[in-house]
Amino acid sequence: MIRTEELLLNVGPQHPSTHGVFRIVVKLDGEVITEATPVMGYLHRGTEKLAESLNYTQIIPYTDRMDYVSAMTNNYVLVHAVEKMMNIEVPERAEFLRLIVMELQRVASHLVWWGTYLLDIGAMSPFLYAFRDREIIIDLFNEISGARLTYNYMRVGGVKWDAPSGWIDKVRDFIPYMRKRMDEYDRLVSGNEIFLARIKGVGQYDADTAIAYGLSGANLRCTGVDWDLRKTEPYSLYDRFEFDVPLGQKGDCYDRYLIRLQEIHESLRILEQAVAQFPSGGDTMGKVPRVIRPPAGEVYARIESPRGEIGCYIISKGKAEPYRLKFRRPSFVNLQILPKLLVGETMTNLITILGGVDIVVGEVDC
Amino acid sequence: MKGLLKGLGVTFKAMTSKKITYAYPDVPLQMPDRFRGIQHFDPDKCIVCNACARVCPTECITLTGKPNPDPDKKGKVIDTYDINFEICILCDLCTEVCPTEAIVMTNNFELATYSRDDLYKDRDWLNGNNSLIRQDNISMLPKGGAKKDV
Amino acid sequence: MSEDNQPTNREKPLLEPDQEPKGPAQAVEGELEASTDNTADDRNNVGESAANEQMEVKQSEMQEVGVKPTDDKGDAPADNAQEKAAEAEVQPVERKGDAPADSAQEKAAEAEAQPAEHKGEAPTEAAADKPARKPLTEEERAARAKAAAEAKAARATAAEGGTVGDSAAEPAAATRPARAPRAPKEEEPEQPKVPSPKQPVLDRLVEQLRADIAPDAVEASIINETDGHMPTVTIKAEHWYQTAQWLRHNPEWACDYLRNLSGVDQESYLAVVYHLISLKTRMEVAVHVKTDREQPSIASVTPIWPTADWNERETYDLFGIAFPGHPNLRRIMMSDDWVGHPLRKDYEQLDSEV
Repeated sequence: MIRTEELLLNVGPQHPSTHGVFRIVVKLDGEVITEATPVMGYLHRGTEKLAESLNYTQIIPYTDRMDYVSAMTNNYVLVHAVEKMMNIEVPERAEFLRLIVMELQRVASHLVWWGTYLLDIGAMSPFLYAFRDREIIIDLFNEISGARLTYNYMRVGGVKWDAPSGWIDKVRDFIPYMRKRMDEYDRLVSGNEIFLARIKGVGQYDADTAIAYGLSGANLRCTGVDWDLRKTEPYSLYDRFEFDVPLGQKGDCYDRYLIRLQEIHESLRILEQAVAQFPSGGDTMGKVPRVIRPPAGEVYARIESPRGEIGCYIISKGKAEPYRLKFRRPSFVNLQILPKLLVGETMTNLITILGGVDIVVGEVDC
Repeated sequence: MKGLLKGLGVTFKAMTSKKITYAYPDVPLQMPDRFRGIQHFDPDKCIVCNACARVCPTECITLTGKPNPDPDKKGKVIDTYDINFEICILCDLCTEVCPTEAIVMTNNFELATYSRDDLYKDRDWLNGNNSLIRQDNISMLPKGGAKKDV
Repeated sequence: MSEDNQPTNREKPLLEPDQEPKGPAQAVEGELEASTDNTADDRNNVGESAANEQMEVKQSEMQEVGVKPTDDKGDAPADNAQEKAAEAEVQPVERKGDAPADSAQEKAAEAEAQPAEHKGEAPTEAAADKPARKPLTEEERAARAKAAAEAKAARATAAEGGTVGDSAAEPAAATRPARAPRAPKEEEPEQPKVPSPKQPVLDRLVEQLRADIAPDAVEASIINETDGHMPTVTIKAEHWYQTAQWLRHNPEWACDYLRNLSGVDQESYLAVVYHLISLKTRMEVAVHVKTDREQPSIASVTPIWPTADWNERETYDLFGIAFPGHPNLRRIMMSDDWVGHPLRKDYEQLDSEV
């Protein structure tokens, strides 16, 4: 009779698969997890406190660094909130540029997710392929905003730069290239028996749990709940474009995987339409007062980032700095389901489930 | 088994396709013109308006001015100008507000040194950093002036 | 004036009286002027054309006569003025559109900036006929210094703007500096406030809550028009748990999705703001719950919406609000042995040079 003791294992802050500086303390009985406690705060940089002493344009570089994999959507949520408060109208060309970069960002973010998820599971090639294709998107962003990861591109009332000449054509050429690549990824991974055996049926939850835990993004849609902020609360120009929202049925990791891949396809569709409808002239900046001083009041602006619903809650007292700025970060909220999902799973499934939730620790900690 | 073989087919095909690795640092990386690299400072253009120091989100710019040595001209002339590259995030807000384009960004980004003291760059170093200066700076363009190239 | 060879940082004056920066004004630069903490005395004539449209700023008129409201001056005696200004700013913007809004904004900024003395002056306009800058006279500086002192005193006593001058039109939000309607200034057009389309929804909710929970459960209710006409209610802390259950299980509201839970430190009290939405009926509501600073405590809603779990832990960690009923209330972002609650306004950093 072998006596097993409970083992306390630290899936430590430095770990290649935790997607950042993030720690999970698991109690193991053999290989089965009996309890998992996430510990976070290693990347807490006090963005919300800092924001209380900076004016809105100065906060934009800080938002880049929250969810660094998807910085354009972070930029957008802040400027969108301020524009809502001040009732600023953004010119059409600027809005088109914003939408194009946000959708490109969605593709890039899902590519990072795909590559690193498969790397965690054990496949090495998809990581390299994903980053090779993401490099094209990053080069596009480099050309338009001057940086590869922390763009600081959007401003209250518009965008900072206009697209350089030829940029839209490059985006247009990227779309069929990416579609070909997606076929390749499907052939590479989606039929792979080992992969399917590892992912199907893992980390399953139902719609009521998802709603109760406040999940958003692919984590919510994998259970069949049709909730995508681009469709249900349209912002920017999303109501002009035709695209579908992929939904899952079973609510397991495989559904989340398929949904995110399908979301790349849908983003490419939106990009195609946006590039076709791109206005040939126009301003990149609306009529913004020199000092951005929103009137006293509060607003909660929310958009759909690749990870879920990102929200920006601003209380303004009429000054150039916000009185209270809170970011509702999707990774932070989505991660709450982890302790619940992990009970009873094996250690190997921990990584699979954690990767499937798609977190970025910069966002978890803010 | 079939899925595995299909996947292997993709990998084998990738073996024969063009390599995409950059040979950096043997081959220097070409960045697009708008790339936000280390700043270049031109003291003659600076009018000590302090806009850059005020807009910096991390407060990494410190500068002092002195009255213009030429008794006929009014205004101030820059005396010292330091950027602390330990905390500069290359966000480009300083070039955006500079009314005279005294501070602009270049496409250089290699700043790694062995000692932190070297990261505190003064006016002369910034003046000397004048290769690959960015053409596309935003300060003199009126806001809303889009390049209608596309 | 500025001395030679002194390090200029944010607290120093910006420009010599006779010097003009040469480029067009930038939005960012304009923001900087508003956010520096200079006292009124130090500032000379770095103007702020508060509401000029970007398109019309020309090179020559970068610095207009305007007064830069400082943080400590522009506030309290002009708490009223600022609120009214904000009111004037926002209301015309909402109703009329851009162009008239600018003049209203200018007037508002003007009124904001010069509380008592220069009310009648011509608003700053992007016209080329305005002189580039007008140095302040000594008496203006003295008056402004006096106003700054008054502002400091008034701000110490007043909670925050918004409690002054509530008209009886709607139960004003004493909780937040929301745009409570107040008596219009003489410059403002006399227009009745257009009722929001969600107002009947809000009224019905307030009525139901008063009937089902307690007559005094709802402290205040208002439609937050900037935020897409979101109904916003303030609930008393002792009735909050019951109200939360009601909102969750009521067939019409059925708010099953708690979107956002954030703590707020208004200087005289702490508050927690909840944003709720129902995925089926698409009804949404924002709830404020106030609590005092000494022993802040609000009932935890984790049993109702499990998503509140970590959000409440974060609020506890950063603000110090206790949530009785929470299964696991401990620090989440800061390390477990941290002392103090960082996001409070009176938090002192351990190492303030950083």
